[in-house]
Amino acid sequence: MHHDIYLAWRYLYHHRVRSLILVICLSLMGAMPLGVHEVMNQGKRAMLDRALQTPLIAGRVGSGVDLTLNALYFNNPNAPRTTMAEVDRIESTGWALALPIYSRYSAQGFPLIGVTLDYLEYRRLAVTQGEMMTTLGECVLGAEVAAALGLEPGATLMTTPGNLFDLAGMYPLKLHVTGVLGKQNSPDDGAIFVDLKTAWIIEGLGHGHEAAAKSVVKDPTKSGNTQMMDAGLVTYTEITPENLESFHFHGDPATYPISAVIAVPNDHRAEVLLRGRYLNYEKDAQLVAPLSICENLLDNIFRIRELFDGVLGLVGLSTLLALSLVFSLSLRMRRGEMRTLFLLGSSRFTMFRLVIAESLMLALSSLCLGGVLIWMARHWLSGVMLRWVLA
Amino acid sequence: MIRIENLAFRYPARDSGFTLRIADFQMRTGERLAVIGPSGTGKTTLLRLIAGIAPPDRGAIWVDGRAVHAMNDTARRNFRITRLGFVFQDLQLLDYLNMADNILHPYRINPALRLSKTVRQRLERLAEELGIRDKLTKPVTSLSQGERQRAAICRAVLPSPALILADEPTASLDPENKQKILDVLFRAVESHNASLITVTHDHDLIARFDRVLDFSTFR
Repeated sequence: MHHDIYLAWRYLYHHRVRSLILVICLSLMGAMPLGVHEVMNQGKRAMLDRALQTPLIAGRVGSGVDLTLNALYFNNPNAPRTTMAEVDRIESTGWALALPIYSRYSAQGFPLIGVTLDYLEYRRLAVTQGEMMTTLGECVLGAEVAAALGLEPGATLMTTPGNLFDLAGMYPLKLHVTGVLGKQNSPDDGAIFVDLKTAWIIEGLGHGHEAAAKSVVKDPTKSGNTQMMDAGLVTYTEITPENLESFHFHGDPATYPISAVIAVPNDHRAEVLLRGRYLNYEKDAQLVAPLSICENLLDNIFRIRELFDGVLGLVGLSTLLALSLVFSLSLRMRRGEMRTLFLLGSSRFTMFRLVIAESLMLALSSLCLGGVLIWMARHWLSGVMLRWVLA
Repeated sequence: MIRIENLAFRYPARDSGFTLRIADFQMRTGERLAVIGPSGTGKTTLLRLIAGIAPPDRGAIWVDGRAVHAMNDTARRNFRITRLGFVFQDLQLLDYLNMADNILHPYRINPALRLSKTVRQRLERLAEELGIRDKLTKPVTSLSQGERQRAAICRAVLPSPALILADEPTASLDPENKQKILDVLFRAVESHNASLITVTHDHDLIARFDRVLDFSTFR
């Protein structure tokens, strides 16, 4: 047998370009449908996993898909916002834990998510470097963000201003990185987390500035005791231990914006009751189950897979036919060689064994290359499907 | 060594109607025989019949006391491999193997021959004698025609056959190389005490053979 393998190897090596082309064709033929299926399944799994870990999401009435995708993947900063009243509404029932999320802003290309510490605990996000954020102006980085930006605890980063030309709008805030979260293979790895109040400071609902007395002036256009602050009032763009005390909020906290509320019911009964309760709020709020939203979405999207499978099947069949033709032509071209083998004393069975050994080596090499391609698809393209769905 | 009686053979697919007929032919051990004659008179066919590559339609062929005509395919093949050495006219070397692998090829494709360390040592000795030792690892495509002829002779002689059949081993060579190749063939035959049948068109060479069989008289 080892002679067959040796001779087969010598033949394939001598015709290495032809062999390589055959191996690539065969491996692509096998790896393409399997790889695509694997990538699709991974995308589906990743999406459903995240949805499975999120029982209910409450938010502004509108598209349930947008609400779900934004709450799970932070992919739509412009999604309709709700208010902290939604959190109060859920908590007042005593049926569920309410986890507000505010995902409107970003910093250096990554979504900046305002949450409470309960969210991090619920998602089991623990810091592996540094420590958890404790005060305003601090943030913790998802593992991918830290790796991409090369930031460590102690570093700072600026938030991205919402609109450069909006002079009255929010100013960038310098955030202090206190910790880096452990990798979870979830969208949390690609986010920067701040306390909800920090997010509202970025929004402009809270701010810190110099003592107003220094810059209060009398309004010359008005009579009486009307006073106003002049443009010289310094508003802080960084929260430090020295100016922390000066930060304060205006307005009713119940009206402060958030993107969504993750509701974690105490039990199944509480979940049913909560969903029933939200049926009464259908004009201003909605409560959705992310799992059913994602399943419906994926069912619709992955209908394309049937078409894709059909196309791949046809391409595979035609490639197989072409390869069979190449193989039979190759055997015909090798008649002289087979005659030499016969003249040198080879039996038909030995010739058959040699051809089989060559075919097996080609098949084995194709299998290895196909395996590598599928492995590469699994490792490098696993996020592609998810990004495509979210795009 | 060889006895042929009432031999008749006709290629089934040939339209020429040519039939090789040999009434009686004998050859003794150690004899060196040259077969000459015009093209298409059956010289190569005779070698193929003696080697058992093709079975005769009629008649009997005994080689080394064995009835080749009565053997089945497997027995004929094993007999050819173990007892005969064949230098083919077109050499039958495989491009994808180097010279050593070509010489050892019969050992790799036929279980009747066993590729041992002794065989490899004999190959090196023989290659040394034939002056091709330094070419053993070279691809056959990079060899000269003379080197390829020597490789084919080396392959035929390596299993120490009792009979060597050489089909125009000096074709397409210049006179000097023809003599050299014949020297090599004769030396190999002598060192193994083998018999030799060589088909040739070179009348300059036939003087070196013990006997000449002229096929023009057979037709």
